[in-house]
Amino acid sequence: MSTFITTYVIFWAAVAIYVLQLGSRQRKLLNRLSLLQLQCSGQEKVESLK
Amino acid sequence: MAYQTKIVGLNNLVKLVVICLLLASLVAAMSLAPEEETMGQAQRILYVHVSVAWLGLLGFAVMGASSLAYMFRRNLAWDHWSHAANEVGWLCSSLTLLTGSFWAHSAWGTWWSWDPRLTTSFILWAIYSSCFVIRGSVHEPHQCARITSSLAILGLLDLPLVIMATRWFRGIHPVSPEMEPMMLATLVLNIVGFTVFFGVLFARRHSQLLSERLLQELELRVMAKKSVL
Repeated sequence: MSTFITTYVIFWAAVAIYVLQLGSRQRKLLNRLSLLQLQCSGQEKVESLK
Repeated sequence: MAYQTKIVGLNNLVKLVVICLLLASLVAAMSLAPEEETMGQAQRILYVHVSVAWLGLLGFAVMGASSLAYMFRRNLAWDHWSHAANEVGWLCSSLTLLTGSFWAHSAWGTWWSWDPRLTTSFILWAIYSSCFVIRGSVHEPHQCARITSSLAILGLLDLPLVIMATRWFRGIHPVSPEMEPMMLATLVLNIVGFTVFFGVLFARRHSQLLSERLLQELELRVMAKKSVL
């Protein structure tokens, strides 16, 4: 019984780590995108001031 | 806006289907499937082991096919498919060796044996890992894609060996044992559930890689524009 439970726990822990890592990569991508949007709007303002 | 709402709705529906399938697979494997006479509860490891083993092989086939497409077209879009299959396939292949080891310890009294099926599976895992290491160390995208594609195409030769190992060579790994209908139904449910789940992870990772490349291109353009200003 314990072998089977241990296998399932390790299995799901590994899968959960991968899913969490995917989520963290997604958040980093979104942060980079919003930073880029900010930079672009800043540049547009500079161009309009010129 | 309506398009975005539809995408979010579809995304939530896919998540719900995946969660339901995984829960059903888990319940079936842990309690609905009857206990096997000789191995007892440890036999239930088989349901996840066979599912991830099949996905490890499928992942390698996808990686090999997209590597071949990259070699013919030299288009990085194909390499993104290969990269996503590399990651998800490596996870499945590692889990196959891990769950197999636990099963072997209960059935054979040893964690590992150099049986033909285990050896060819280990070679497959080693190729997956090598591609992984190369992706982390070579930074020029086309150079990285060329090396990993060559390795993946070479690794395709190992796929038939893994699949046919129990029939072509003499070993101790079981060859498709006969099962009770309820056990077979549980196995099929697990295979379907995990295929859908890892398929979703694969699609998500592929879209991330694509977005990453587009974002990199945009960042370079913004930096170039900034230097002009």
